[in-house]
Amino acid sequence: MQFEDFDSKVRQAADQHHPNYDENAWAKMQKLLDQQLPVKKDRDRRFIFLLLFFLLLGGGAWVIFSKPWQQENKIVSISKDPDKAMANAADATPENGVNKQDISKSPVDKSQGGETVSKQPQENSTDNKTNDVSGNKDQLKAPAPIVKHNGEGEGKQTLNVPTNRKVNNASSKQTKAVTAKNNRNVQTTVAISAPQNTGKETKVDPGNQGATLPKNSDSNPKSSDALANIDDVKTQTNADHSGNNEPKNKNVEEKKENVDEHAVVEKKQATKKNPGSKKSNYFFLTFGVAPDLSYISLSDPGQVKLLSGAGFGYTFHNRWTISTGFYAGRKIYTANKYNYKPDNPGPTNNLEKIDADCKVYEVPLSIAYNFINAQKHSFFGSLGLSSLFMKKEEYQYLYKYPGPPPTTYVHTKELYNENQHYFSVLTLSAGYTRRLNKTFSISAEPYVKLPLAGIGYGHVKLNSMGVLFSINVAPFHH
Amino acid sequence: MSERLNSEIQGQLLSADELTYHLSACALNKRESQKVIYNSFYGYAMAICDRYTSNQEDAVEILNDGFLKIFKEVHHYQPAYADVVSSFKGWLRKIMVYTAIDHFRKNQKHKVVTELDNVVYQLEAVNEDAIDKLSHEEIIRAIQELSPGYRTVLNLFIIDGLSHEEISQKLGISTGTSKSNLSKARRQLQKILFRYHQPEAAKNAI
Repeated sequence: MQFEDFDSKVRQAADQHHPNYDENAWAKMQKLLDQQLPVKKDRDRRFIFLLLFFLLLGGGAWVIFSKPWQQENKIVSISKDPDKAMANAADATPENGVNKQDISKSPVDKSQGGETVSKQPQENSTDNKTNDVSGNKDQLKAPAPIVKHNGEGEGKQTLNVPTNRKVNNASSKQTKAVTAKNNRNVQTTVAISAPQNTGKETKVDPGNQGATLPKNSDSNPKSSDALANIDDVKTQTNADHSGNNEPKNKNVEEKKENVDEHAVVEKKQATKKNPGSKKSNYFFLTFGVAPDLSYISLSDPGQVKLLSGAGFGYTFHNRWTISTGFYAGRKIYTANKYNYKPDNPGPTNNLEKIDADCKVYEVPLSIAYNFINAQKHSFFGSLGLSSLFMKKEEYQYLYKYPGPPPTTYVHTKELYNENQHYFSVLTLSAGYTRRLNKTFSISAEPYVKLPLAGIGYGHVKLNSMGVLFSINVAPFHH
Repeated sequence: MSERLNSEIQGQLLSADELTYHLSACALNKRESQKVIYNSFYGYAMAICDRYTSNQEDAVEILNDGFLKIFKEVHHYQPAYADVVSSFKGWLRKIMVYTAIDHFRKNQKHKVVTELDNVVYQLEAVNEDAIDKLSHEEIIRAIQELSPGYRTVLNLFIIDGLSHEEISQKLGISTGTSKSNLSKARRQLQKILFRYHQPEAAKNAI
């Protein structure tokens, strides 16, 4: 055939045709690949992760500063200080018609025996400027009648000394200076004289502990001393001031009762100040991230990758904590033919090293103990066992041949969901927890993870270390 | 580590292991390995694409479309023979030819003649000496000067070894048309070749 030679020449020409390489061609190819086969960037995932982490931190910071669930402390302590007691006594309610200011401002003219009590006690009920007193109206009982001492025997009136069981400390402090200043005056005013009567002493208040009233109308320092020893002033119903003495045992019982009440209040305050001291059990959630370094030997460490996840746990008596969770991360490390021992090993004569890149899921189970537990922070130690699930394993085997010429090549092996290691990693850690409030706390926990068995396809002794930063949420903790 | 290895391997002919490694990496859409494969087989693939187009720009377009198909389907690729490199080159060649056909069909500007002419052309004997004196580049350039339809049929039959039945299926024409175009393609090519070498001899060619 005449065309056979012609055709063979054409074929020959085609076989010998080798165009030169054009760099512009690759640039166009790269653009086409970026459009049709874009490369998934781990950086994006890392960025999203960090963003979520900082959003969590920001949310926690907002919670700290806004404190939407914070309630004011309305518990007031009752002081054992007699001065304070007098100040409390001086914090008369408007119902009693005695204004502490009026009392303080009412100087005693001993010589003249002028009026020592508020002139218009009834009017004071509407003129009360003490918020705390008004706020404690409901705690007051019916006052005793007022006793007026005019020194001239014109008459007497029973002094109402109401009891303000719960008095604001601030207000009591405010009045303390004033009442202390006029304490003697007050006491003097309490002192009763009954010139018209047969000289029997007139009692003011059976609740005045240890207070004995003088028989004379003159102010008696003894009475002031007696009043100075009063722990508490108790309101009374209409007392019989016809001259009957109150029994001492009744005063003692009342005193005991006051002490008990005082002890209860102080206990509540102590508990409020030291929540850590109270034994409590609670459930919590935790969200954490950790820079995690994997290595077989520290002389050839791998890469630091982010380990992140969430978990939950339960705390007993604010001391013991048991927890578990789910964490995902990557283990990137380098092995050699001596510590990499798969079940079916390939040729290792020229095997230089193995680079591993594994995506793992980790399920830890740990128990922790708070060995220092304060109000705002605690230090803890933890021991746990983790299970590793190898989601994806990628191994690059680097072979080097001496040649000549020396050549290297890489063989890649990929495995998916082939290896699971239950409770094969021992975790040791210690950390610090900072309580932001009853619900939120943050912690930093340096850890070391030691393998109890070979990990992955190569059964390597894979170690890890890092620092776990967590936000803990105890939604039901009160 | 993989980037360091790639820098050592680029510029060299790929061995079987290197090719296997880079094909595995291409399956993972790794750019570095894709560039290595592209660079290593650029000449071989471009030689195919050059024959099916009349200009460099179209040839690059066919080349890149062909490599895109390869990178998309590389995870399905299995060597047909023990020789990994030859198997891959055969697969690469097939992809490039089919991409060139697709390009021709998409940009078809000339109607392919559907019937053979009844007139039998009396061709002068091929001046083998003249062809022998032409370089391979000139032959390829002459092929590029053919009309698209003739060029495609000539490439498919003479160089790529397809039968007329296969050509007719690929191009959507009859086998008779395929034969006719092949005949005309040869004549036209001879004319061009003669014109390159012997302008006076080309005048006498039918």
